[in-house]
Amino acid sequence: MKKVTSNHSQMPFDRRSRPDRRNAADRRSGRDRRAGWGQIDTHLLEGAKTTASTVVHEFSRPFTIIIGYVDLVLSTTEEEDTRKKLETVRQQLLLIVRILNHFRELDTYETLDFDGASLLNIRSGEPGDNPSES
Amino acid sequence: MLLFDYQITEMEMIKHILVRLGCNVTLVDIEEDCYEKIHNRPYHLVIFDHSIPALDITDFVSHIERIDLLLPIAMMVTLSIAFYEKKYSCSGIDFLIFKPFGLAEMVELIDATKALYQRRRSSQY
Repeated sequence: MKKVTSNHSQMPFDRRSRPDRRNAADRRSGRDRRAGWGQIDTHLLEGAKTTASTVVHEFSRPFTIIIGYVDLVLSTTEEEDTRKKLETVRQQLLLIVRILNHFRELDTYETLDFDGASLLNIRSGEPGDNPSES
Repeated sequence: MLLFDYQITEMEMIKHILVRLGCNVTLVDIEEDCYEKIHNRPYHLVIFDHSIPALDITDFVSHIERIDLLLPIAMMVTLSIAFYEKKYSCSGIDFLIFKPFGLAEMVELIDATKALYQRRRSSQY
């Protein structure tokens, strides 16, 4: 049986000088790394997904009821002015539905800078999202 | 149609939509009542909510299938499609309705249900 020694001079490399540690890509503490915790980015994505799922889950019922009744009233009302206003409400509701759908299918963690504040980029996969694309 | 939900406001709204679309709707808020109703008369669709407290979804769907194998089942859901594909793809649920939804989605569901029901009936004989 091969004997395993704990002689540091026989280590193939110094863990502290590995490139991902040097450029701070791996910012886990030694304890987290030994415990098997993943990279910071993985944690950020998991946190964002949990938050996004909670938002979608909690907002879905009230918005279903609102959209349903707006659709019902729209299908019966004949007054032109009321119809126009309800169409505007409906369009805005559909915008919210699109945002909720983006949250629901969130699979990457990307942030956008909004006047110095960091916002979650929920439309990262959409065409035209990248300003460099034209 | 049999509509099984625990949230009365949502249930009333969906009932209004279904009635507007020409469906006969029975409302149920207790699991056992659901089985009893399906036993007593034929339905064309069961719609239920994913978030009904203490409902074992796989068991619920299996129970309905034992009573009426042809009956299409739709579940109103809120989470990602990947979650449902992983957890309930083999459970016997025919349709997922992603909330929030409106009149157009219900029209689509009814059309799809009619087609599925016809297909099942014709393949039975």
